Amino acid sequence: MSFFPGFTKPASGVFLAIALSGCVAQSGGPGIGEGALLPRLAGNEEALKDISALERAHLQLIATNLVGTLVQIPEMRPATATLQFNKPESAYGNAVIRALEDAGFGMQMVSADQGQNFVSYSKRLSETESGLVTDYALAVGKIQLSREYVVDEDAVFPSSLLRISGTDYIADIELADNIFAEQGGDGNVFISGAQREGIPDPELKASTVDVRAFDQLPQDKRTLQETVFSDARQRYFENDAKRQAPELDNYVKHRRTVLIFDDNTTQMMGNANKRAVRLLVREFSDDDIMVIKACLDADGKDDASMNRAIRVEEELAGYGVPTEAAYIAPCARASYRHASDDSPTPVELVHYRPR
Amino acid sequence: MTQHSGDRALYRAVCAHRAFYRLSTASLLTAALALSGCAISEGYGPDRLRGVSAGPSAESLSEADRAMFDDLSGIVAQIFEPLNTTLQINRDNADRRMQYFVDTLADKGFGIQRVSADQGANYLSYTRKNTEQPDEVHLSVAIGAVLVGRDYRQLNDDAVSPNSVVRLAGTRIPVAVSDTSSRRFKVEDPSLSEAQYVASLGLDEASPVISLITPELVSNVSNRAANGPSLQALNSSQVEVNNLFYGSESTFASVLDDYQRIDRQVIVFGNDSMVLGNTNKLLIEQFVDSKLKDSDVISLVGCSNGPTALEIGNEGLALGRAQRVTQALMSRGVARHQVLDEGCWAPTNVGDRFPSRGVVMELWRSNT
Repeated sequence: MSFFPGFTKPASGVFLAIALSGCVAQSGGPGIGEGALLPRLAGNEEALKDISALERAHLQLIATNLVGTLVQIPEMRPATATLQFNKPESAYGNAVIRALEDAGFGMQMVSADQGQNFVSYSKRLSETESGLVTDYALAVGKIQLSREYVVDEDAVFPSSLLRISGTDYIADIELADNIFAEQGGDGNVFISGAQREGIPDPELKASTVDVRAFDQLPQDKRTLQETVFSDARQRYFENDAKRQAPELDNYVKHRRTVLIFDDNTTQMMGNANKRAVRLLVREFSDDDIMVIKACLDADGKDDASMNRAIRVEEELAGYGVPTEAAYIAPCARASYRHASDDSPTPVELVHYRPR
Repeated sequence: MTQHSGDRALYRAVCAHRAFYRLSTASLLTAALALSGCAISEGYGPDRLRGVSAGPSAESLSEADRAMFDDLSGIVAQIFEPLNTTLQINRDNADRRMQYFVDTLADKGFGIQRVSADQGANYLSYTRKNTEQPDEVHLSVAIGAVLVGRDYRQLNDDAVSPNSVVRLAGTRIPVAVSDTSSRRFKVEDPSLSEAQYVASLGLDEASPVISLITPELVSNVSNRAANGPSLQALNSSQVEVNNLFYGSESTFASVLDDYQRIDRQVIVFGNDSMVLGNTNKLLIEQFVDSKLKDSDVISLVGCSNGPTALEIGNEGLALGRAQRVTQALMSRGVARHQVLDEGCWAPTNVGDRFPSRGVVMELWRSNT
């Protein structure tokens, strides 16, 4: 694959020659800088210096792929899980820790392997009948994820299903495999899907993805790592809301408050709302539930409202309310709100107790 | 995921568009690279968009600032157990002082969680401002509902000297302030090496009303005559509470299920008065200093039963008295969520159940 696909090689060469005339023997070409891969906490810059910008980009894709899957596992909700880790000694380690940070996990540096959610990872190179493949693994406590990846020219692609062990909940997981297709390819094909390690699944959902040259997106148009993680989290909450809708007839309302967000897009709650949540949760008992009504302006899907509801559910989780006890109510038409409306936005929070 | 329809016309159109796009992109890229050297993209991570620098970048922080944050981080590590506590900070926060503070806390063993907004029970923020005194800086850090602050005097040689005691709000955990002089931290007045518990005024802004909607309440409201005493009202935390004149059970009974009553005192107020007075202040001070532990809860029942000449009536007087005691407790560092205040009000006497004009203050301790 040429750096400028679609051009003849001489033309590409001219462009490259001009481009490179302004710089001296850096690790030029496509790729990413060290800063994008370096953990904010306890990063190891030295470990990133020995690899090219392109290799760093590959590692970022792989770490995003694995961590984007991890955040969809119920036991590993970033809002409540704090992970323990050691200072990374390798480039892959840097990429993993940085991705976990960006996914929103609490990160705690420990001196050995303390903690229930200790992060470990590995990278193994194998010579197989399909050529050289590299198996990347990530483990957090008892949950393990691994997948093989293969490098083809400037791109990296998965070459196996993503294997998961240590959890029973993989049915709703959706892999962020589109990030590999965005690199473009020359008729590359890779397999997409997740399976439980060592357990045959007759209902396994796997597909193949063909990647062509026209799939390639410019670097700044590709899906952001942040978007991969937030989409994965949002999908988890949406699925969770569908799965555990409570029978409200079995409950009575106990308390109610209305949190006011400054506008339709903000995620900042502010001290006053946070204090109200803290006081409300004070009376929460084991069998109680909290119902979050954020969507008042439409019948159906409303991303801004869902984000606000998720924000409130995360806040509740931060104060110890389990996910299964917090329920995001579906949209109900109460008033019309224009898309450009930036006035304060309410979220109703109702505390129910069993009858 | 990519799907191929085999539509050749569409494919050609896409190719043509991409060829043009690549030509433009390549030209621009070439110019940019030639002019600026080999700038490498920061990837598709959030840093590139937000300009957040990755990794610690606290090198440019002054020694004086480091000394102040080191001082307060030592206090924070006494209030919260580092190995069991995760602090939240906003992931867009690239402030170098905050980065240094976070690195320091992480070194002490705290978990650090970077959140997209202000999520979390232990959301971390700080305020640094110049006071009215020349060369004096006030630094305070907030972790959830807990506030730690201190004044420092800036010295000429990039050093600081503590210029006040350590002020703590929202917690009563005992802390040791062991100031030790060093090159950048000079202890000039050893009498300031202590902690003082104060009210968290900065965090105590008006919050949303939390209303009661129990079926019993709804039923009572419909049954009672409209001209009788009110059945519920808002307490000092904007939480709706029942008038205990009409019921024997506290609004917060469920909170106290796992607690045991340790002590009970009655704060007596003057007729139609919400003035606490020196004696009652001393009583509250002794109550907090000698008996209260950080996981305890204090229940208050403010009472006003009997005739009153005040326009606010018995309701305002009862809850006002409870609020006054709440303020006194908070001024001693008690967190607002530790105080459960409610009231008992009626134009007639309630007998022995509650005092006519006072606040019943009870200390509750967890059984676990």
